[in-house]
Amino acid sequence: MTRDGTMTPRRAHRTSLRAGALALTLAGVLAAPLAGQMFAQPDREPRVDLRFDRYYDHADITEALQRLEEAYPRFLTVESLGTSVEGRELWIAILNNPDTGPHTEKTAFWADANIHGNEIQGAEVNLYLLWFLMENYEALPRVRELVDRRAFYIVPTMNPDGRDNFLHTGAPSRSGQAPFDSDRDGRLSEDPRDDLDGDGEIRQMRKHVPGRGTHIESPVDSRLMIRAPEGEAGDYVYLGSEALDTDGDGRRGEDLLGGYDMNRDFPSDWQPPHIQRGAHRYPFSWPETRAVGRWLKDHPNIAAVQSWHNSGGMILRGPGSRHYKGTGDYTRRDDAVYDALGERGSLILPHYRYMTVWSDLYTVYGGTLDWAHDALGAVAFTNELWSSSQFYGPAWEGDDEVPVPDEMRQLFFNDRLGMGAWFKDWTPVEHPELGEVEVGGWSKWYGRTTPPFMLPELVHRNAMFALFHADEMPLLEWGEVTVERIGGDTWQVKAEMRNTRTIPTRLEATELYDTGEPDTFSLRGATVQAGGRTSGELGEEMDLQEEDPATVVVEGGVPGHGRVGVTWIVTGSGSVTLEYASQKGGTHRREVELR
Amino acid sequence: MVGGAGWRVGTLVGALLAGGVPGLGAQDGGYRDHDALTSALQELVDRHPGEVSLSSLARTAGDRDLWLLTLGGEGEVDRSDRPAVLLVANLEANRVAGSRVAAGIAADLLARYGTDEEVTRLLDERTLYVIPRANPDGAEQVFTLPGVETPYKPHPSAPGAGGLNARERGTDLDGDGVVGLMRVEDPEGSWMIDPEEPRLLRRADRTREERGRFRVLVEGMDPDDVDARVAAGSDGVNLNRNFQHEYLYFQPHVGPHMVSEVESRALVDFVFDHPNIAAVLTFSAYDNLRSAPPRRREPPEGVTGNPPEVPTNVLDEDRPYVEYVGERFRELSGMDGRGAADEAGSFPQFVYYQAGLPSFTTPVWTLPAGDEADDETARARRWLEWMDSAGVDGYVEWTGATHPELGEVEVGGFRPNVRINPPSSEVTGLVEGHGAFVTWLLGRLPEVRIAETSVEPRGEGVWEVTATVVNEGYLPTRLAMGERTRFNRPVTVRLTPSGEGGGEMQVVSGNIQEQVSRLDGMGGRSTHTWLVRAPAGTRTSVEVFAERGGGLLSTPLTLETP
Repeated sequence: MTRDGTMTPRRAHRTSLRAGALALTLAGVLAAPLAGQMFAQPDREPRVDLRFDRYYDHADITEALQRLEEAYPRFLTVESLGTSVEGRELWIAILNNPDTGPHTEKTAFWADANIHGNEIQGAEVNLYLLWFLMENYEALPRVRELVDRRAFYIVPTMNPDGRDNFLHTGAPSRSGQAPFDSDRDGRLSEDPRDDLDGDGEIRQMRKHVPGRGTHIESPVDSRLMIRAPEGEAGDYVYLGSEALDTDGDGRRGEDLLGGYDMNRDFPSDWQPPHIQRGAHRYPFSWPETRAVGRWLKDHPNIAAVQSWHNSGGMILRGPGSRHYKGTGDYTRRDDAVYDALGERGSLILPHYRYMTVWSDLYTVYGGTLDWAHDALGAVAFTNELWSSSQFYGPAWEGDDEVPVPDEMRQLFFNDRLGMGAWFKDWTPVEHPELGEVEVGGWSKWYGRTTPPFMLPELVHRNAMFALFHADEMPLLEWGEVTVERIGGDTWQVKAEMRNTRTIPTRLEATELYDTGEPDTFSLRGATVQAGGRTSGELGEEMDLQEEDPATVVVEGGVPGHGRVGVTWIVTGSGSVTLEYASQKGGTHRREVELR
Repeated sequence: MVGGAGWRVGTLVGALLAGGVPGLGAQDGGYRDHDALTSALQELVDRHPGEVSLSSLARTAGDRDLWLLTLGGEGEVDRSDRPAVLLVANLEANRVAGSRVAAGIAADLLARYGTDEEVTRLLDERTLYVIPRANPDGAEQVFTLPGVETPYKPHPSAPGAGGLNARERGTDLDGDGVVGLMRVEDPEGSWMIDPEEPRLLRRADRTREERGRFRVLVEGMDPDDVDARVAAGSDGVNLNRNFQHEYLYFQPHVGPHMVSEVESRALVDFVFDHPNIAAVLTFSAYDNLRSAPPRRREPPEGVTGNPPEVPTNVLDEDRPYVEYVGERFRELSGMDGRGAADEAGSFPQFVYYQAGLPSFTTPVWTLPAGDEADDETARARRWLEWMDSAGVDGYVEWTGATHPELGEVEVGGFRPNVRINPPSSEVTGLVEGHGAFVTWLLGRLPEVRIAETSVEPRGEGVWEVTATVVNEGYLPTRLAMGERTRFNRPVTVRLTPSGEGGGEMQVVSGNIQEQVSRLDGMGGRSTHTWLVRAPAGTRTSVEVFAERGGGLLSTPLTLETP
């Protein structure tokens, strides 16, 4: 289908989906959930019947969000962060139980997806995540606890323009869709790819030139082209992507919409495009990244950031460059947090490996991960969804004795698992510049995109990884609190705050770079004579804080599975209020009697 | 926390001791606050409506316009296609002399348009963009807070005076209208009276048998004030440290991230959105005109994370241009001395190292005594000498005062901004000198022409078309850095497709469109040949796109036997 509208007409966008949802609210509440659990294959009728063996374009996502919001109005609010280059809304779903407090006061989990327009599965993971949490809130206590104690900020797609371009045309869509001058001739996007055979996809072209070409048909399978043997002429020339040379510069389809990379557009460890391909003028150059960045900066309660990409089966963490902060690594303390999550999390995701971007993959400057880590203080993972080993299975893996040409394997699976769905046989087409050519080859649905029959497992496992990540965000509980009379109206108050999860309330990076606010432990209601962190092997000592000891500053926060104790010497009577305030751990108050 | 509050205060004290300034601006009627500047610019447009226009690039947090003047006469080519110089001033909040001189240069050129032949020709063929005050909110503080010297723009989330936090800001203890320095006798102090100039302090050198006698603090500062803590990114911003090249991540006064401010974003976008800009001149604290940048320079302290391929020096191929332009600057402006080189995150560095354009910068005015000494105390002495001889009341002698926590102290030091902006009586001379340089620079931009074209028959219906493109200006169509950073386009040469007035034209040899990486100045040229098939009488044209050398040029051709 073409860009300009032979597709299904786009539904009207609304900046708030809440409007109009009210009428359905009552019905939703009355339909009391049944016992039973909702997985991708439900054992009962779900309240919202969403399929997860298919892909959603922007209009479909909008509709799915609307249905979820209508069914679960108490928990879900859908807002727009802004609009994309082509004017699509950037939806964010805020999932929160208002009965347990406003979302801004809870430790929050963020998930985004599809910043690369062609890496589409993440939107389905995010829709599933919302759907799963809602459909199982009543049935599964673990879900209920997560929903009641945390907030979730879910952005199904950060690049709806690239997504729709991929889904509707199959042209390269990693980028956003702003007009761009990729060939730097002063004209913007004047030489696009062209769907010459009108099959709705951009494929490959070859031309039959007997005895004068560079390639021949493979003797094993005539659909495959291989280089002609050394010293021999071939029968075909390979002509690259399906395209005309619209601007007449001798290159076909080299200046299409976009041509930049929005995941190189974040302001930590940013480099310009001659160092980092895909970067643009400066961080937050694009409306999509800018809108997302603004929201993230405005919500310091976000303790975990999860981004969905494809493909390769990876759980990626920063840093993106070996030169990051001159060391190429996060601090040892922060590393331990990532390792704990990455190693355990990969158990939920067979075929996925826990990896560091620069050392295990490639260098990325200005990616989401480093900015989320050092400026936002959130533990950030990027999952590369979908692994070919999942698809091909063990029989085709790791046998060095019998090497199988990659394309033969692919064709076998196309023929026997896809019944020919993913490879189009070469078909003659008249090319205005090149005469008769043949168009054919692999579909956009093959390779990076999970085939629909395997999508439910992918979305479920990754959504569960997200919930594991979310569950490991800091969760504070009061530890021991003691009051001891020293004499007269003088008391020693000792209080302890415990973190029962893996992620600390403050990453060491934020302490190091002075980003965000440090935690504070304070006592009000009596005259504080002295105060400070409890120290000593048995907690019998204290590190005096000279300035304002009523509010003890806890720069490093409460470590994962750790505790922070404070000792005060106060004079007074009656009750005092203890408060632990943490941007990522929430604010916790408690009254204590001096007696 | 990097450095912490102590580090920041130390830096500021150092800066105040080393430099300094009095309540310049409000007292000195020669400088303009935002309203006065706005009126002056509007008046310029009223007087020369055909040659200048005024537009706003952004609206600041303080609700002020970021003004742009576009100068250009009635030439044949649209102003946005003519090779252009961009002049930017007053990025650092208190450098109001820069904005005064920049606006003065614009006024001067406009006054000479129509009478001065060279200026008239230049304005008809070139564009001069002038952003006289890149930091309107910051500059306003020179007038509203005349007692404080600050290069920072106030940050919306930290509404401290002058973009300074409580520690940096201090208070005016002695009520003389100036927040200067405070010295306190303290056996732990590291400062002593300068034996050569007893009005000044300098650090005691224990290795030379010297003993510290004073602590030095910002006047009125409470040394125990814990509220002074400001998280990174929420303090006042030095706009000239908010740009992408060698940005100092998470350091004080650089903004929450690179290009975070509406002003810096407007500037960068303006540069990228105007590919006709062929050279940029910035009036700032830095300098590469009075003295060329060092040949081998290390990145400034605090710059981390850059891979080796990030350039830290002017490329060898570009250096001769920088050096030669500097020579001419010194000649034309009469300025000499040496410039400051600690330019991490500055706008001029962005312009060269990322936009890849010729970038020149100079502070307009500095210590008027010739060569500056390296030593801070020696410089301070020279400032005092100058003030004494020029009759400038720029230094407050140490006087007793009472501090609420510290008791008896003495306050004194340089008045705010006296060492940043000259007495406004000097402005006329500075406009003249710097204006002569701007005029010269306008005449040195790349200037691409289609020098020759020819059509030769090569048989029946076959033609050889040749075009020679030449750069008649001084500067090349792009610097080596422009090539490297990819933001500067090559020169594109093409035949327009056929069909206009003739039959089908088909290019037989080569591509209809070719690109030349660069055309050197002073006659650098490139010749292009196409063999085409078309019926006699077919009309086509040679089109050249040289973004900084004149935009889109075109010469019509008819395919016929000459």
